[in-house]
Amino acid sequence: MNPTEREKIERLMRSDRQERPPDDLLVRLREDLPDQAKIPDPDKRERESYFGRPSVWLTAASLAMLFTFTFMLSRITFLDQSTEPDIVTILEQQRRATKISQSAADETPVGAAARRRPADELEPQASTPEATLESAPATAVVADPQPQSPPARVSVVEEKTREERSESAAIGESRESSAVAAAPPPPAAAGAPLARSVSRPAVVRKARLAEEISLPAELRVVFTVDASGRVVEVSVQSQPGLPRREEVESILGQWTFEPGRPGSFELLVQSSDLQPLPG
Amino acid sequence: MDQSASAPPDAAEKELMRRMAAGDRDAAERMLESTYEQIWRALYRMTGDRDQAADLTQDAYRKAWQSIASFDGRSLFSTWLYRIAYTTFLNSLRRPRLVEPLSEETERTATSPDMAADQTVLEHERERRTRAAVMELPDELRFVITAHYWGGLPISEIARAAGITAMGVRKRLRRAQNTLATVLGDLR
Repeated sequence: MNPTEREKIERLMRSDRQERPPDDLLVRLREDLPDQAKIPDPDKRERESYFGRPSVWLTAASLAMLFTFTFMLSRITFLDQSTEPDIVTILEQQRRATKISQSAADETPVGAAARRRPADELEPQASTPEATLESAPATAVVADPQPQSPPARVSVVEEKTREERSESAAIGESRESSAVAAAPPPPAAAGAPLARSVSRPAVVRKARLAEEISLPAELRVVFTVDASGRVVEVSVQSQPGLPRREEVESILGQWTFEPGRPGSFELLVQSSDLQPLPG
Repeated sequence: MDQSASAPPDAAEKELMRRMAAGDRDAAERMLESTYEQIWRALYRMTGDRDQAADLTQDAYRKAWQSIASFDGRSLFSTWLYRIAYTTFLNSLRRPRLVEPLSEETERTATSPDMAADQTVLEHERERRTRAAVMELPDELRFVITAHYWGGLPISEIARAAGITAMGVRKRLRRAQNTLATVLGDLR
């Protein structure tokens, strides 16, 4: 519709004639006016209608829910930040840091030499009487965390008696089914802590338990060894249905570690990594 | 003619509404005096009959006073009255008419004695055709365009009365104008 047509429609709809209503109309209307022509209070109605609108209540409810959700979320975040990091997190961080520092050290000739040295030094150390299985039933097997560097592990295996070698063959000791125990780091490796592992059959054997009481994969045991090599404190994190805390404590309570190297250690079944706790 | 000129300004009407809410009968009478001409003119444009428009105006006010407690105050009182008058007019179309209006010739003479005969005939013909075209519009368009041009209501008040937005009112006005332009294209 062009402007001309619009103007024409406007002119047709708006009459120029000033029509006047009949004279008696106002009289008739006044006669009909009731004595009480009271309308409801418009201000009150407006307030009521405003709070009576569903959209108002829906908006208020949505805001309340949003506020509650935000508050709860902030509380959860606060609690999460306020709690101390668990021991597993600390150990994991330390393990990563160790790997990073080791890999950095490997890039230099000096670092590579230092990396080879602990394995070389372990052999004579493991051959000492304290490191034998008889004198220390749960002597830790010190192994290089790198899968391609097994010398430390081999050296300890050689320390086993012939009888134990036959036991190991009967039990079917294997690298895949290894549980992890810990021992303090050797002096040579104090600067660059190494992960330590011991095979699960050896753990079972030294605990003088049947193999069917094997430790589950999800089990995490943190235990503390005193200066005499005795396990003095055990902390177990296991899922329901797995071996009870008392069972694990009884297993570890029979162990004796190399004396003179107290500390706290974590036992991770099947992970083959065991890290000493800081401090 | 700007019919909204006879309507009370918003502030004055709201003041009258407050006084009416307080039970002031004088305010109700003032409200009646300030609105009845606007209502009658709108009904006259719809019916084309002065007396019928007066009767419908009286009916509309009676209904308004009877149902005054249901006035929710969301719109102006004049808007509420116009809505009642419009409904009253629609209802009258469905009823048989008890009184026959004057013939067009008599009415023309009675209403416009000073107008030239040709002009009067043309004017009435334009009004008749315009009214017929408006009455043929769909109800949602008809209410909007009659309230705007004949009732003299502002866009915002029409939006409240129709329960739509002001933009919706403008769209409906445009659609109604387009339809009328098509139907009344031959009128000058």
